[in-house]
Amino acid sequence: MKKKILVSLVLSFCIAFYALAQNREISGKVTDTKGEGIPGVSVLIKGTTSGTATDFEGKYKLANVPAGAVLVYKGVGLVTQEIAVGTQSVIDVVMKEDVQTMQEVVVTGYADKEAKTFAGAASKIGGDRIENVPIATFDQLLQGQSPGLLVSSSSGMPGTGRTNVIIRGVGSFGNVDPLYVVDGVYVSADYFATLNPNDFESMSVLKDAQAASIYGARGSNGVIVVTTKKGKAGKTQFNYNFQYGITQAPQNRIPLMNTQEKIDLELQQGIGVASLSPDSLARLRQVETDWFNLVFRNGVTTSHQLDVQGGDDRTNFYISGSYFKQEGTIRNTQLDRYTLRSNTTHSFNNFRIRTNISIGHSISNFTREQDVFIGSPINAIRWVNPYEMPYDSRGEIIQFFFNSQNPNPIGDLFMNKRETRETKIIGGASLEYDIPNVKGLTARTRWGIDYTQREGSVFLDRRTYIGSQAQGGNGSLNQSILKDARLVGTTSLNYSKTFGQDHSINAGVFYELSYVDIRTFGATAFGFTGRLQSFAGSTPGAQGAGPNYIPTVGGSFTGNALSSYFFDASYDFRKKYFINIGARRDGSSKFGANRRFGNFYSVGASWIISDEDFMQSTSSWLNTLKLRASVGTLGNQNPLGDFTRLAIFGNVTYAGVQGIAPSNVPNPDLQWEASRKWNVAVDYDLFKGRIKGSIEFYDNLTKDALLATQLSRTTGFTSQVRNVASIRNRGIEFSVSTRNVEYRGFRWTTDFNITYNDNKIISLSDGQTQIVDGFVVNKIGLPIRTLFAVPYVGVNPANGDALFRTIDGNLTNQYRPSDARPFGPTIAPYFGGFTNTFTYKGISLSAFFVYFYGNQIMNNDRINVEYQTYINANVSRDLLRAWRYPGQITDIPALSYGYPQEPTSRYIEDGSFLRLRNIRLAYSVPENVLKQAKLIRSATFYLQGQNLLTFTKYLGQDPETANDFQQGQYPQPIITTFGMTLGF
Amino acid sequence: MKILKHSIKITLIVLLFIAGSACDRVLDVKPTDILDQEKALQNLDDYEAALVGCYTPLRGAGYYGRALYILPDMMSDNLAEITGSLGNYREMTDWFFTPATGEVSNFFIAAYTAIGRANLIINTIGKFEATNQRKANRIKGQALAIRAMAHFDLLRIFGQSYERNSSALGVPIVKVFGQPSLKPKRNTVKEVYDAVFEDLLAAEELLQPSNVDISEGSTGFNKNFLSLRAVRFLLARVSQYAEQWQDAVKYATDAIGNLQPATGAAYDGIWENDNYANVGEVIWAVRYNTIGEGRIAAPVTFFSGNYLISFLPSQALMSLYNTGDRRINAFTRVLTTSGSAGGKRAVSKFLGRGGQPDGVVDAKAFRLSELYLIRAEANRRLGNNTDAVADLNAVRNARNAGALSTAEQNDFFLAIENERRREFAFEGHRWFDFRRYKKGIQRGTDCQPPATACSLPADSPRFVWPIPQSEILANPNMEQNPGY
Repeated sequence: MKKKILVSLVLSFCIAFYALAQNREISGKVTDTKGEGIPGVSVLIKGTTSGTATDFEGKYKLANVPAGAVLVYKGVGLVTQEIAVGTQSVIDVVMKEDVQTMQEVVVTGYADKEAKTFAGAASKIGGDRIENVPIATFDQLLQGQSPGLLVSSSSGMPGTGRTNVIIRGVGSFGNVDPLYVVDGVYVSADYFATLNPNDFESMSVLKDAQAASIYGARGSNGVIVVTTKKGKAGKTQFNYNFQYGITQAPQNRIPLMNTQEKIDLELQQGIGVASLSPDSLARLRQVETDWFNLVFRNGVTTSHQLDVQGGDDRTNFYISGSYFKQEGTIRNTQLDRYTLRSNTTHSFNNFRIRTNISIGHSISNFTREQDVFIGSPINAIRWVNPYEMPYDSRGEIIQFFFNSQNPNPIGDLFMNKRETRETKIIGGASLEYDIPNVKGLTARTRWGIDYTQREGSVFLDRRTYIGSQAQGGNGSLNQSILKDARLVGTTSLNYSKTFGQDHSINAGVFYELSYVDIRTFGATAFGFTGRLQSFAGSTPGAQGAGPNYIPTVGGSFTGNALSSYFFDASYDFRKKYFINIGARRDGSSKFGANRRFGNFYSVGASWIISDEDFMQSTSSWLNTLKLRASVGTLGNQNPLGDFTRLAIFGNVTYAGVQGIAPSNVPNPDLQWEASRKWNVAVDYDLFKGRIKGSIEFYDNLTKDALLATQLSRTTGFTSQVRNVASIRNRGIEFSVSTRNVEYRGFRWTTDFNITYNDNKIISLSDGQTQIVDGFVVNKIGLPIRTLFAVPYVGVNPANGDALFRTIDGNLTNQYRPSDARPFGPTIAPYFGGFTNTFTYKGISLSAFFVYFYGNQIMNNDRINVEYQTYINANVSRDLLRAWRYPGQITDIPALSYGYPQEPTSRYIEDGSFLRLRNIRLAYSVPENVLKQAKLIRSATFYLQGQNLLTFTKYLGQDPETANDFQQGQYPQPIITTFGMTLGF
Repeated sequence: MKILKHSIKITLIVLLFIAGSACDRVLDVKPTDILDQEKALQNLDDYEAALVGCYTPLRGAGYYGRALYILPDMMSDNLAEITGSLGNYREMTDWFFTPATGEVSNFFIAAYTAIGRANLIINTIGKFEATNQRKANRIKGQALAIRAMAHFDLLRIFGQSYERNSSALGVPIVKVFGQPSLKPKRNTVKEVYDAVFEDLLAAEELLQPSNVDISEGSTGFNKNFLSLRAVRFLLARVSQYAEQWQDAVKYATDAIGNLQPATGAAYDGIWENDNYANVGEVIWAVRYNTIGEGRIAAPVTFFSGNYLISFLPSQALMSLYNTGDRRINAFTRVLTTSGSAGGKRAVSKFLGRGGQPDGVVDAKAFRLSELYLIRAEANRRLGNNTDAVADLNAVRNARNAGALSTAEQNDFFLAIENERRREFAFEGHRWFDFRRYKKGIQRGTDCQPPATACSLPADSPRFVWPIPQSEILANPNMEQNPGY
């Protein structure tokens, strides 16, 4: 020990002496390609630890540089450069942004992988694709952005409504939500309204077994990995984003009767107004209430965001704050959101520390939707008669209409209050350590929390219809709180090494623990006879003589945990041949006692054919041709209830006495749904990027799909959850990006993607061929949730009866459910999106379309206005065509004909649509203009339209839905905004 | 540096180790709101709780909450659908229901859920009987009674015949709990009757005052639970359906004991006020405490504000009451609002506890007057005319309806039928009486649109409900009733 120190002392002495003689000072300036100085770039003498960093203007000065030394210039996000000193004393360096590596990295959530070497199927969506789009929840913004990713939303209510995200088809009868990972933290799919999508740097969609292999029992639905923005080394920069615009509702496409038509119908049928005197009738005929107009409005949407970022080679930061407000197209619905984010990284010695913290708070006012309740305003506008008036002579809201037998839609909308307040924190921190002496060996531990607190409040005014139905008949207040905490900790050891010229390996072993804990508490109080709308305004009351105002209290806990070991390795040979393997062992609290642990694996390989010598002749136009393939298994544990594995007794009450009752049939063999996934793909790049893209083929087979296996009801239960069914999804994804025209600063580019997914049920539980659930069926050989209805043929001209086709092909006027047969799929088999962008100097115009093709929707909104026995309420104008006399040829049965309300094929419609999802015209002020303004670094102004055009045959306000049937759905708004982005 | 390196390595290893060893513990997430089966049933108190669980299916919309209480009257001629009805039950009320109709499977599921829960008690309580035999008897006796009642009600709805010894199809008799592989065949009507009587007789024995810890008259007795009297009531009712008239007289007499039909305000009070604890008229009532637990007659009841009402009492029913009959005003009330029901007489029998019009009120499932009318019918069948007339008049006099006229006495079975119609209006008897009397339904002149059907012949297969489609699909051994 002692000896070594002595030697090194002597050595360093010598070097110092030598240096004194030969060394000199080097200075210079580091600039970017535009000539701007870059601060914080490190300048090091290669092979030593001595060096410096550039100052605020990008200048540096380094003394004692030995002759013959090589200087290394390094900066975050910049291409590293090495320059031999030679005889120079001033070295100016122009550094390029490291665009290459930024674009071509696949973020798997555990590691960033070079896209070139990656054998899995993953697509990356840049943050710019969703930036400044005036939609609150980021999952909705993914629509049409990536092949294989089907995104449909059933609500246009600002910030609420769950979006359905399906990656490569539905492989389960249960929940197929992808796994969402934000900066390494698993986040719940339920609360995206309180995250600011403008903070997102990129989103990776991991689709096949290889890409998602390290997610094991949770990977089979695919994974969406979100990476938020990092600060860039250099000058501290401020960006300010502002946007303002209008939200509008789309047109109603189911024409309803007007006052004259409706009154005439009632007179003809001898109902409703038929009993009124001619005078009263004449007065009623003067009324023409526009119920849509009373409920819908043009709302305002606005947002402000300020972010600041900067740093040097050791530390960088990104801090942002935002405010987003959107008024819904239905009155009194609105979202207000406040977010704050701080991302920092810091490195010292061999350590790197990273933190990502975001805090958001949102307040949303909402209304009832997607139900068949007469009290939901969006239903009531269709069902209230046009001759009924919203206000009485004193200007008070009339709560209930006796003719249409329907509450007034504005009674609920204006007097009742529904509000959700959500606070969400996502925080993560990681510590990485490069183990000295073993080059390429890195240890990392990363911990994260996703915490959501959601407070719901529903106040029902006693004067309203719904409020009068409350216990005790005098309104109610329900307040509830939900606390959803998710913790994850991952510790890993990673190793990467290159052997000689040809071989390099990259491997990691991981241990991970994750935990979900969800608690709720809620109470409902009654008797709001005064003015206060808080609990203070309630009347506590006992049973007996008076009204029953006894409050109700509820609460719950649920949770699950996962303990996992996994392994991930890749090997490449000559940067042409690549092999990736992954394996994971998951233990889950959701699995039955006999199946506590599940093993998952994947193997992938890729080959860059275009880099082979024999491809030399085509290399002038075929720049990249890559073949890749993968196979593996992944699991889905979403559909498993947290405690389904147990034989459980729930609490019940009868006659005020507590009791218990068995609530399920236990299954100790319960386990994850296993999915075997194949993927074969070709990546191509022709004419130096003029045409590039991928074609992918996949075949996913879910075995052990969980099914609520139907039991004989005589068991006292309806079903038992078992791993019995299998489902196959096969498909093709095609994507292409082209630079069509590049001429004198004018540029036209196109991005296009299309997916075809063939979804098929292979088997159900033993011996079963189909499971009918209302008007959808799960049947072997057909897609999941295929519409199932009795075929409606038309009307018998002789007597006005509806005609149905029996299962034997005959016509009948008898509705029998046993005649039902399958119709189309409810999930679109073809879908995608395309963008055309035109830029000329500072002006750019981009138009983004999305499309869905081949799905059908049961239009329940139509059922409720066409069903002939609902004619007390307002009905569709189509009923004017109802059969009236023998011989009449029409498609609407006689109003007197009673057939069940059961949906028939009469209401099944094509759900295909093409929508101009976003169009944006932007102008960036030229830099030379800005230079004169000094303070401002960049300025962009834009006009933007969201959902401006929709082409569809579907007769609903909005063809987009994630449901099998559409009923009272809050339509997606049409949003027009003006915005600007300023950089300082 | 070296020390740092080592410590990092050690820390890592320790971290991995700690995390690894923690995993099994972490995976054992325990529910807090629900119980594991092993922990659920460990003593007789737990069985008492499980017994409470047998009653909740009876409260739901599949049983007294609708299917077996207001619905059979909506399907008959005591109620008439009016304009403004949403027609939510029209498949049932106009008899075009199918095996897929929700109301059909709701009842089927509710009944077998109750049976399954009762079976769990009956089959396993033996282990704990020694700790308190009397308490165990009370619990088991009720469980047996519930099992018998549910089987009998299933028979009333799905059974192809009511004849005591019929070999026509009844319903499966189930005496096991929680066997997912169970796919039973339908037992014959005779076998179902046998099983029902066997359970009821066993219950009657267990529930004798000398065998139980709580019985009628003692502290803790509660009419919301089945008592010895209720079991005898059931025996009487089952005997009536089985036309075992002597048994019907015997059990009715046992059940009546020394009780007299309620009169005057005491009778009125059991409806709106649920004031029946000390009124002999109510033998068993299904308890409803909150709106969440259900509203037994929502389609016919006007709530606060006189909103939505789908059915009014039929003119034919109302014309059956003599002037001055207490039941007119105890069961109905003239509405004072506009709208299609305005100014008409509507059902107020189930308006709400304490006169609060929220529809939350108990279903008086077993009533003393039914016993009188069963005994009257049985005695008449046996030729004991005097006793028969006496019982019928006892009810009529209590209701201020006057004694039977000679003409009525001469057409006694019609008199019984009409009295049952008057007394049990809207309580779910009418549909089954049509079936028992083998009569067709003929609705009156107030059968108007939106109602789409006004008559159902006596031989219609619709009188026997279809086995639910979901059961047919899940159980290949299940046979469907004819006509579906």
